[in-house]
Amino acid sequence: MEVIDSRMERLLEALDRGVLLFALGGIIYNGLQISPAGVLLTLAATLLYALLRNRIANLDHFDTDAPLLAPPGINARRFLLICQWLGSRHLFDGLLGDLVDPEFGVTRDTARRYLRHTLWPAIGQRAWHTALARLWLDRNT
Amino acid sequence: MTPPARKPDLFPYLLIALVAAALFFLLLLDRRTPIFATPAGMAPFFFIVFAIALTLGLFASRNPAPSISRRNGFWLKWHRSGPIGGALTGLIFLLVYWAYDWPAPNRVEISERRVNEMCHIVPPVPDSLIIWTTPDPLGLIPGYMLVGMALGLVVGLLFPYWHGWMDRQVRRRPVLRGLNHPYPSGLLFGLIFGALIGAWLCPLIFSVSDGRPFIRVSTSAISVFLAVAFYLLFEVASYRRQMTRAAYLTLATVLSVGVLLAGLVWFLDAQLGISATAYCYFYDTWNTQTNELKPGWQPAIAGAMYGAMTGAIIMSVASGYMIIRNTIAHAAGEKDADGRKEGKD
Repeated sequence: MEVIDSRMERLLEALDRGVLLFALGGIIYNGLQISPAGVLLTLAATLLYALLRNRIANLDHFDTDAPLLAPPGINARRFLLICQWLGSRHLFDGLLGDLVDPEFGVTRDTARRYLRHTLWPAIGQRAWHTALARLWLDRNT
Repeated sequence: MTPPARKPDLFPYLLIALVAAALFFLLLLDRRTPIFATPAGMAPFFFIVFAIALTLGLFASRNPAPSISRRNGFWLKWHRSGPIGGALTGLIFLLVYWAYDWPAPNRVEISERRVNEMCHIVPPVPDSLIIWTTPDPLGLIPGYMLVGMALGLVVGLLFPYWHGWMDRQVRRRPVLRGLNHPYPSGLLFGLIFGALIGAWLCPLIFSVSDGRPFIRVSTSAISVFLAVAFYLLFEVASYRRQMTRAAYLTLATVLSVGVLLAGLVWFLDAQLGISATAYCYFYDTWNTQTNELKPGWQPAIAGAMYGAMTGAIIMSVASGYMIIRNTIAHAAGEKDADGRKEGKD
């Protein structure tokens, strides 16, 4: 079953924009009203929405029945879980592909170090670019 | 030979999550203070939570719609479970009502005892016309269970007919095709029948006038969510051996939408004081001399709105059972088809 079709994806992108604009407005307004609880709740709701949207968008892209092939020293299940919730299939395949390179993946330590140094910045960058794209500010789109 | 891998049993965790959600509500309600500085500050939060509920709802409704012709024993026995579920709902309703709305030193009740300060009535209602005592909550148990049972019977008897009627309408008018899915069909049923029952029952309950506090809108929303969610879990628990990953996902989605809807009602009530306004609205149409509601449409309209909200929450969770059941049946059907195919090969 295709969970999200293209028409639905466009609709959800419009919803993302609305959520982002409301989140920015809410944080600024509650900040001006000096209501830290309000700022935190708005932020928490926005993060929850982002997490949920990313997970649902990733449902079709991850075939969990396929055997997970990862170099030694890498906890493939944990890596998959992080990418499913916070990243994407593209990121998952890209980083695993990088580990084939002897410079990064030849030993357990180098593989782990490479992932530690690249995974979280890559997730952050992806989230930042997605937010910019939703706000029509991304120059690459 | 290695033993077959055991499927993880997630039900205990779901139950714990539900209890944790209930405790979260307990903590929130106990505070009784608005969280946002102004109601306008809540608007963005409200929109985002609504967007979460909408996303989850869209996701839930994109699961395969049930085929009425399938008779594989998974159908909810509405005639049996309607009244039982209703009685359970009535009992949990009373429990939450007692926990939050009943007079206590740390709780502000909404009742006739505070009507003068709460509704700014001029001239004030004299003490002699106010009922100062509260009834024994234990004495209310039979009444709540009976009303719950009657409402459950209405759902149990009428919802299958409603869903069948919806299905026929959709076949005749393809433009309505989204409505034959259990989720929108259940929501619409909850809204319409909730409004009808609320228009009749709410003024009736209000006119009982035995000194009990007014049931807050948030108390109703939380009570019905908890009651129907627990009931849903216990019904689904009987099929736990057949539960698939997709079915668990659907169950979690349905419960999440219920939590969000109940949470939204709670937030709106806490921020905007809807319950106190509703009480004063009812009291405006109250004849303090005769302890009866004055004739007119206003109490019925307020009751219809109250009933529609409660009905929507009940049916949004209850219709989840049909979607879960269908997800299991769908998976079982696929498994059967695969088995037959393998047999042929």
